[in-house]
Amino acid sequence: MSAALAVSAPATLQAGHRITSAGLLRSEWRKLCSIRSLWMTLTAAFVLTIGLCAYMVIDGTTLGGADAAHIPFGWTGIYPVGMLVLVVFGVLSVSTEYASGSIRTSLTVAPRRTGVMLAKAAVVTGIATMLAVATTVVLYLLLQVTRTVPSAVGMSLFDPEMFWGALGGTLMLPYGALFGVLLGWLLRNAAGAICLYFGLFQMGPQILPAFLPEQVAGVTDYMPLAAINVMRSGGLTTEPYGTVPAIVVLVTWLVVLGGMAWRRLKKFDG
Amino acid sequence: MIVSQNLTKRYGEKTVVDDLSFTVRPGAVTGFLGPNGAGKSTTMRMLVGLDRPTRGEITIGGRRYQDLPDPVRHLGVMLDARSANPGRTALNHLLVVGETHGIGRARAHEVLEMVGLGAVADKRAGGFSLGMSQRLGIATALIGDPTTLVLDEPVNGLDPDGVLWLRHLLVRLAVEGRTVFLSSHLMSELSLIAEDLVVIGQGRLLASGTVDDVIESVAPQTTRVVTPDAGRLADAAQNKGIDVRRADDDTLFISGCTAREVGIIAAAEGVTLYELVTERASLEEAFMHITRNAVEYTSHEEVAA
Repeated sequence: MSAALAVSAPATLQAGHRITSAGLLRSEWRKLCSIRSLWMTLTAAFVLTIGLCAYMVIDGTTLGGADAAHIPFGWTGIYPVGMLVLVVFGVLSVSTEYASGSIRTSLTVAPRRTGVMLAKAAVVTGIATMLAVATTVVLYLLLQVTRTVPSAVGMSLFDPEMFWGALGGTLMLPYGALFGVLLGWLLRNAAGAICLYFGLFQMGPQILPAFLPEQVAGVTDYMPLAAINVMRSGGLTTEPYGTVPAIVVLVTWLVVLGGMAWRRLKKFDG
Repeated sequence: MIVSQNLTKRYGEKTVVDDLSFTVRPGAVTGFLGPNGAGKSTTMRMLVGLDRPTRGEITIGGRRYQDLPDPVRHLGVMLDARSANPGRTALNHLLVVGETHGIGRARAHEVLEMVGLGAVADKRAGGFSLGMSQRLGIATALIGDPTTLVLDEPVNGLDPDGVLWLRHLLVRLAVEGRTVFLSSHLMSELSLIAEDLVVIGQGRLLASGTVDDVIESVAPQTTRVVTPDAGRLADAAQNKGIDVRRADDDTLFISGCTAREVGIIAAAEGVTLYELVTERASLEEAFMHITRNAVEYTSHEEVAA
């Protein structure tokens, strides 16, 4: 392993190299692409979502029968499974850096830290959004080809009866990924963040009412999943509230989690 | 130039770095020494903004690292050889770092070749030996062609060829006018590389200056003389106010003057010399002396000794 000694005046560096938003985004994109476990988790989320939805669409038994036949976007009912995997993906995108010690490199290269956090959130959410839109388009086309859901046959994807439900289902996928990223930044530990998500946010709405006083049991209506269910309904339900309050609830959770995670990242030692 | 002014770091009740002030000048390799738990790594972490000082500040070229718009162009740092994600290839690790500053693939390949890892650019870092990881860490530190280099224990795990390469690399970087600041427990290696030293213990500055000055401060240089006329030479030296210690019938240890001056006195007295040797403490001996009261962690055997 012989090494060259020349170190001065590298021809491959020009003046003006500095931290930029585009540079941070490229760096975060490379982080995701260059770790096998991350892109395999991402792939698993969408393969699982597309596979299960496609099966339901092709089979037609569940989506085409009884009450479900009147819901043209019923195929998005499997999306929560993908969202779960995307929460894990989001958590891993941060926790792998802490577990491997590479976070020290990341925070040393971009010492103001906020840029790293925003860039990772943007890249993870951006990828999940693009793949979620592609997933919805593919499944919509499959729905039109198979014609197994009578209410959806010949209906445009942008028909209001189809669009809002499909949009709500589609957006829950990147929301899950972003939620996972923020949990990851907050707890820095995969096991802790995933346990918190499943224990509080996934299982909480079912378990907590049994332990909470009746007066405050309704607080679970303001958990993210309750708001997501409102969004996924495409306006078919207004229980426990309508679309706008649901958006407010979802954004509030992101702001609270993100704020706590940012404060921890910014104020405490790296 | 690195300047630390009244740098202090406390974790709860424990003061890890205590009012530490020192300067690391450009154009020289400066060794950063201290026993385990002395606060070296914490000081280096505060330098790059990973830890926040409780009081005081440490700057590079007069600016805090966090305030630099292009940090990797100013400071290259290796705090831990194993700070690359083990699932990432060496090339991708460097690109992850470089792309934040718009530094591309050509420079990443260049520094990989520079540290001898060109052939394993597409291998995952998890499969690297400690020595290879050290080289990757050094490549990471060099990617922005920084004016200041800070390395924590860079020699660990390097084979003899690697140690020689690193020695030449660091000296050359210093000759180019860069600031090179490195910690190491390998005193023999540091004594070959470093011109300046900063020695700390229990978070406090114990000594700083050139290697010669630091050693001289704890163990003044002596001249060992072997002569059949030891008595006559001792008398002549003592008459000039020079401190002389007689080891045996033929051997003197003379301190407070140089070997040349001893030779001149001997010639004036017509004394025959068999040996005339300048002796000084090793860096290791000086370090042990300086830090003898500032060792944080010791075994029972060390205490008994």
